[in-house]
Amino acid sequence: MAEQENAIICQDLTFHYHNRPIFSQFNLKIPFHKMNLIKGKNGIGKTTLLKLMASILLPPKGSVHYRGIVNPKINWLPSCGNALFPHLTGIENFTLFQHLTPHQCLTIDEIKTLLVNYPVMIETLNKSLPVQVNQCSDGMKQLIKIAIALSHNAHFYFWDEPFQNLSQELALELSLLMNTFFQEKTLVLTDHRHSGNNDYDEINLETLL
Amino acid sequence: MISQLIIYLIKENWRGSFSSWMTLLLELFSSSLGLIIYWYASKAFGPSIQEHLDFYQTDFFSFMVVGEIFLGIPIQVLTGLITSYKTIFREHIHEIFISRAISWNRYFISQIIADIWRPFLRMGFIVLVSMGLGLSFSLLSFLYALFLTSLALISFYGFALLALSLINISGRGQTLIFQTNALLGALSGAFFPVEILPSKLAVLMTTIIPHGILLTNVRKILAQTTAIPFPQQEFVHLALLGLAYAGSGYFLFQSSLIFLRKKGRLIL
Repeated sequence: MAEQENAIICQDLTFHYHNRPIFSQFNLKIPFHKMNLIKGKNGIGKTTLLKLMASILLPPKGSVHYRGIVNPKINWLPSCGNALFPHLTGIENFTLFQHLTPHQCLTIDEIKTLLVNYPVMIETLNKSLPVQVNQCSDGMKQLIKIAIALSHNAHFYFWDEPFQNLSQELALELSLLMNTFFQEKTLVLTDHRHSGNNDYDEINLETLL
Repeated sequence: MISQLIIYLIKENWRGSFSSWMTLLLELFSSSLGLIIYWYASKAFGPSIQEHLDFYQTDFFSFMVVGEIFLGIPIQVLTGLITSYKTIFREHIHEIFISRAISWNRYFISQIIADIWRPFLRMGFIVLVSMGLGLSFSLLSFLYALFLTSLALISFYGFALLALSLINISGRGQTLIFQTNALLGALSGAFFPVEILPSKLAVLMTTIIPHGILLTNVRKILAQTTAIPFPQQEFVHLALLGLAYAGSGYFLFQSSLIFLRKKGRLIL
């Protein structure tokens, strides 16, 4: 892979939790405008690697470089927790994050336009938006989280288990949407339910460690 | 738009705190119980400490009620901020904050404004009931005291940031912070005059601890033993202290967050 095609370069990354080493002088290059799937068994450090690349965690040693961008806009879809304000409705959460985010975000109407060819997603989203998050099912919460993530136009996307809690129909539509949405974008994700519907560049963490 | 942000946070706080009107009534009921305790405590112990209260030109019941009202606002702000911060961590919202470079300062200040109605509601209720039980002060003094309280919020904001830093570093500490806060409130003269304390402790409480500075000066304003025209020495004192607390609090908070991100301990 030519050096200039790399979007993200992890250089000599070292990270440990409570003296348990996760990465030691770990190196990885992520190409531009690709969907990169990080694979590996449970507990190997897939989410930790995503968080390090998204600068949510900071490595005590080593570094993450974003090629050509000094302060990149990062889009993060967390897998743990709801990542939503529990007493607000879906649409209130959507708007709240728009107001909190310092960059321009897509409106809910623009998101709905984006989803126009995905009827199950639109229908479920329309059902979820007026409901208070603490009364939503896990699948509804996941779809609200995805809508909020899609609204944030960023340089790099890091999505941790985007298909979790989604029904088969929703997961299929999301994978089709991702194929279109991420054509000109750089995405790194983890996915235990990888169905083969997406054209991922696979990164097997077990072979790299 | 910060106004929109505040409206959504008000909704979040209101629905989180008051799932039904019964919860609101229970809160007012608990305030009434507090007033009953103050009333009987003042009857029992008032005469023995009256000589210390003469300086503030008040009786023991009014003394305790003023402490409850004017310390209640900033303490509610402090505890509200800690509670909402814990929710943000519990729900993993902080990961989105960090990734999107969302300003913590902007969020915290919006959260404070969104939460302020609650202690004000309580204060209004306590003032109304207490006036029926003999509490009295001029409207102008009351407004000046409120202005001083607003100024003290900057110090309490800094205090809250210091507390959040402690939570970030230790992973715990919420109970310790609430207990420390209650102790500082008591030592700052919420329930008895600071003159009762050893003189060095009394000086400390009324020069660098915002609880003490606020209460001492509010009492002076309400008793009209201090000159009211603005700017006053007390206002300048609180403003400077506020800048020092807020500045050091924000620096420590940001440092503790970096510490958390390096340790990978993003769960509190």
